[in-house]
Amino acid sequence: MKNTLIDLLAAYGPVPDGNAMYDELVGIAARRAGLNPIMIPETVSADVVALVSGPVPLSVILTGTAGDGKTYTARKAFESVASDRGSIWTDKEEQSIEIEGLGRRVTFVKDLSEIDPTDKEKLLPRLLASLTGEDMHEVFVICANDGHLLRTWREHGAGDTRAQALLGALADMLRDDSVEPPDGRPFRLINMSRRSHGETLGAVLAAMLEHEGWSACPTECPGLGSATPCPIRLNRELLLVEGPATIRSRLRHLIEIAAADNDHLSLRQVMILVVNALLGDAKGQARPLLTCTKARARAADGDYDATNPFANLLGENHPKVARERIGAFATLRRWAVGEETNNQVDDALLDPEAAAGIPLHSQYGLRLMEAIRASYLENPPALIEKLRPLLRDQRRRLFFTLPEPPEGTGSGLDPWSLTLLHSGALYTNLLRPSPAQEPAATASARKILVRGLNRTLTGSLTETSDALWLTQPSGVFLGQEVPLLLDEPLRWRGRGRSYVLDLEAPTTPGRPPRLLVSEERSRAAVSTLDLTPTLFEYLARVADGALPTSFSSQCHQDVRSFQVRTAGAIEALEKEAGRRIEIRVIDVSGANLRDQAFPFEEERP
Amino acid sequence: MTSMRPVLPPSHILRDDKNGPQMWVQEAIFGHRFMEEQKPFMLVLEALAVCRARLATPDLPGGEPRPIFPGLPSDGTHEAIQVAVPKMAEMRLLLFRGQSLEVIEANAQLSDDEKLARLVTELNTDAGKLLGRPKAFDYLLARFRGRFPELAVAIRLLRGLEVDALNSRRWTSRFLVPRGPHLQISDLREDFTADRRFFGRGGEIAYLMLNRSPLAGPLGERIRASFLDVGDPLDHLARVLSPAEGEQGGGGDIGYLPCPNAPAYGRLAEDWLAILSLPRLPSAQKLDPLSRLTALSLVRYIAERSAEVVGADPDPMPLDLMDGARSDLRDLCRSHFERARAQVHDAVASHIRQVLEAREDWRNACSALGLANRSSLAKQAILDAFRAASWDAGAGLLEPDEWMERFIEAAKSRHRNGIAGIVKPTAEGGGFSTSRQKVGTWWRATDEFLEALVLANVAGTMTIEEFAARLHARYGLVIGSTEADLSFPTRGFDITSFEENFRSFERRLAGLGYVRRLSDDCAFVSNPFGAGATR
Repeated sequence: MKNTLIDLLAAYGPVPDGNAMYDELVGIAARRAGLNPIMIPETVSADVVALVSGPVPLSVILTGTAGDGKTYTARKAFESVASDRGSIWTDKEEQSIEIEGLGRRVTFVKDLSEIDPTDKEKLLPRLLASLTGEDMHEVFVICANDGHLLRTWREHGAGDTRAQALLGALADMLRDDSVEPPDGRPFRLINMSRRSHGETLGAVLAAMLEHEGWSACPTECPGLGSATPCPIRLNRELLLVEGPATIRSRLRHLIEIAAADNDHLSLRQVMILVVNALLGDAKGQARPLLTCTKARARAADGDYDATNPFANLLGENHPKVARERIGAFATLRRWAVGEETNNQVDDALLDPEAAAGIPLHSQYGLRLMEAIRASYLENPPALIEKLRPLLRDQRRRLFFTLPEPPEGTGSGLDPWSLTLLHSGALYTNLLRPSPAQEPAATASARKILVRGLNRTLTGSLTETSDALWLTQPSGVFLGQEVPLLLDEPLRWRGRGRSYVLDLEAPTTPGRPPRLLVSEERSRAAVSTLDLTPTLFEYLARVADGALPTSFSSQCHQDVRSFQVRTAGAIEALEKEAGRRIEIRVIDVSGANLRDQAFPFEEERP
Repeated sequence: MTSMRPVLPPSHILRDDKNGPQMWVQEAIFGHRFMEEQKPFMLVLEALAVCRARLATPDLPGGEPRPIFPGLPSDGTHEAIQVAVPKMAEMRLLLFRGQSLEVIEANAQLSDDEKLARLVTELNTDAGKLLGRPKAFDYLLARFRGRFPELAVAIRLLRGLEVDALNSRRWTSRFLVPRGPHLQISDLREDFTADRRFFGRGGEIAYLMLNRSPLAGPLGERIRASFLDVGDPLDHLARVLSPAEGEQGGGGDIGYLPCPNAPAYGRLAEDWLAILSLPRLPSAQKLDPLSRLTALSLVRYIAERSAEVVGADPDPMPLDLMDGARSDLRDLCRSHFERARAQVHDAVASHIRQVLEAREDWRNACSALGLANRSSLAKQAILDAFRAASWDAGAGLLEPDEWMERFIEAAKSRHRNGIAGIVKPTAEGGGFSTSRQKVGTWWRATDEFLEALVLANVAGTMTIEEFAARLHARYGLVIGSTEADLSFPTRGFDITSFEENFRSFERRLAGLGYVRRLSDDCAFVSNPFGAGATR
């Protein structure tokens, strides 16, 4: 009396990072369940086929983080090219198909790092000839980690100028996220980790939650209408809900925020998170995932605290040591969801009278802490240790389900106030493409950004937020008592003169938005500042009057480096143009920054 | 025993037998001379002072300016360069002595011109006492009549440029960021003569190294453009505040650097040129990395020169990036730090033996008949060979070898210009060693030192592994396990400590904004101040 889909889904669940047997395990689980494996739609393999079989032969290098589907994509492309030729994808690391009509051979390499050294010696000259366009009769589809790719050419290309040039081009392409080589070499570099995280999560949720196997759930299991529903079906329902204040939406934001902070979750890790939310079981001991049998037991005992998806998304069903070895949890936990709080939220959770305005839930809501909450109010010191984790899990639930308060109301019932990233609402807006951003939120973000930077740069508590007052770096550790303004305050494009500011939405998925300083006329970039979520939060807190010591040293360093780079570039550009750089003294005594003439300016040569 | 390498004659320093430096041992090996008190930034300032003096000297016949680096004379002699130092007495008094500016400024009873007069009176009183010139500051009265507030801002701005301001040295040994020639202040005694307390000639040695490097020509141009140009607005302020005719101090002979060439010279010049060529790094920001790299080059020079004299390979420098969190790595870094100092002592011993064994008077002493003869001849040979008149040799009859050992001990333990003694302050000032009670001193990197390494060594796209390999090849720094395997073939330590060290290296560079990780397998180091860098 069980649904075999549950066992299949569990095969995609949490395993320590770097488990190379993954594909095999999943294949076995699917056969055993008698179901199709989970299929994540992808479009890259069609692109690969088009490139290798187009009029101009082009090789394709597939790169990206482990678990983003390099080999899977190569295999799909192979099967598509091979469909009418009877070739079968085998275990061999290197396999070729002839495309007769084009007089071309396509060679697939499953994983460059798995090729043994003697085969590699033979392979690399062919690969080099193909990538440099000397041999137009063989093209490659090659899966390789970026680091391994560079190491291979560094080790095997010493003394070969063609290989050295290729190495340089590959390094630049990887650094700049470019697909096409700068000098027309006949290949493309596709980074599988540059897929939109929102799309990935959507595809994983669809493939898992809308799998045909769900129809096989035994009818006798308690359904959603029951007071004690099957926790798996209950969790599925919570994951299916769409809208702004849902697991789906907030999880997507968390994944995007982590990526913008250079902490990318691969497709496989996203699958792990979803499975763990759906099947997580804190009472499972060695196997912390639900089976149908266990799910029935949890429902019968009302043990919904063990199957709480809001806690299990953060790996709460795993023992600490095991959890730390699973990268997906470490990535999400960095944002301290539910660890931060404020009075308004805690009052609402602790006092039923004040609970108005917070979302409720029959199984995962305040019920889970009811027993302790009542006695806690009588005897706080004795019970605080027991209450704390329960409160934290409730805050996590609120993070995933509280609507964002309207911009500027200052309400404490803000889901982001329950995380390290208090400015999360403003930040996630900046992660969207420019046309999709909320203009009011973007305008607030710009003000906060400029005010935070002005305060950091001038060492004052100024309110100035309409223009960036770039101070001249003094070269001295402590900085100057009297800050100096370089050139004139930098304004947003459209309002500024020689140099202007732009707030750029991410150009590639997984990259942060950027503050860009550029020449007004030519639009040539002068300098950029990556607005990682950590830096944005720092600036927001500084703009708000706080001195966030906990993460200030790195952020302060980022701002200082931006200051030096921008000042250095503007000075160099002005010098090149034969202009004398304007320097003004900044008066920081008022609420807003004011500038004064530099002493004895008229006597300057 | 290795054959001795030809060195330049120190005739500009050792003019006669009686006067001048005594106990010419460490000087003969490493140069004349290094001082413990000279912090790395002072090395750079002193080297720049020589460059400025070169430009201040009269043009060559034909009106061509004198090159900053004339190169080593082709006739086999040492450079004979005179270093004249402007006194800048008024500037020093104005910035580093007068405490009355704020008080006078806040006095609401006074008009601006009265405030100016009050300030000048107070400064003149000080100048009378210290300089014997009670009217020294009268020039301010005419120049700044009606402009007291501007003068006050100017003084504050210049005071804000003081380097190492938290240190309370005498008022003639305080320094500004050298953004232009008028901001370059040299170290002097309070009577305005050179006592070489902080400018101990280490910077002159750095200058000589640069002068003998193949990059001297282009480097001279960069130094001129970065530090000796008068375009900087704050340099302009310093000029406005100084009297029209500044007093020039007397000139002095430059220090002594024995070997005509050495790998360290080229490396130092490469590092300077790399820093000075960064288009997006403002001049004011260049002092810090230059100081740290100069300190590193000097410490490596000492290690390489010691090894050469001893006839060994230079000792690698395992560098702790974990702040001592792993004691096995820390201990290894400490033992190599100690070896760097011990090898200086070994070099002293080797050098003394080599010099004596090559001397006829020593060989005669050794083969003389009778202990009394051998003893007195040997002692005299030592006194002559090393200008050792000041050596407190003690009495008694000793065999030549016993005299030699006694002299070696004396030469090692000499405090003044003890090369072993400058390794620690130079490395600590450069940010690549640290000391802790009950642990000792070990090679350990600060963030500022890492920053300097990136600025001088990264151009274009470089992976973090390539960066570590380059630091190993150029400076002998050992950070990750790859370099540890190369440097320590007979491994007596747990290699995971270097793996952990390397991860820490990456984490710290990422924290400083110099590393971006692309995937679990690839991270790039970038130099945001290089040409073409926009990120």
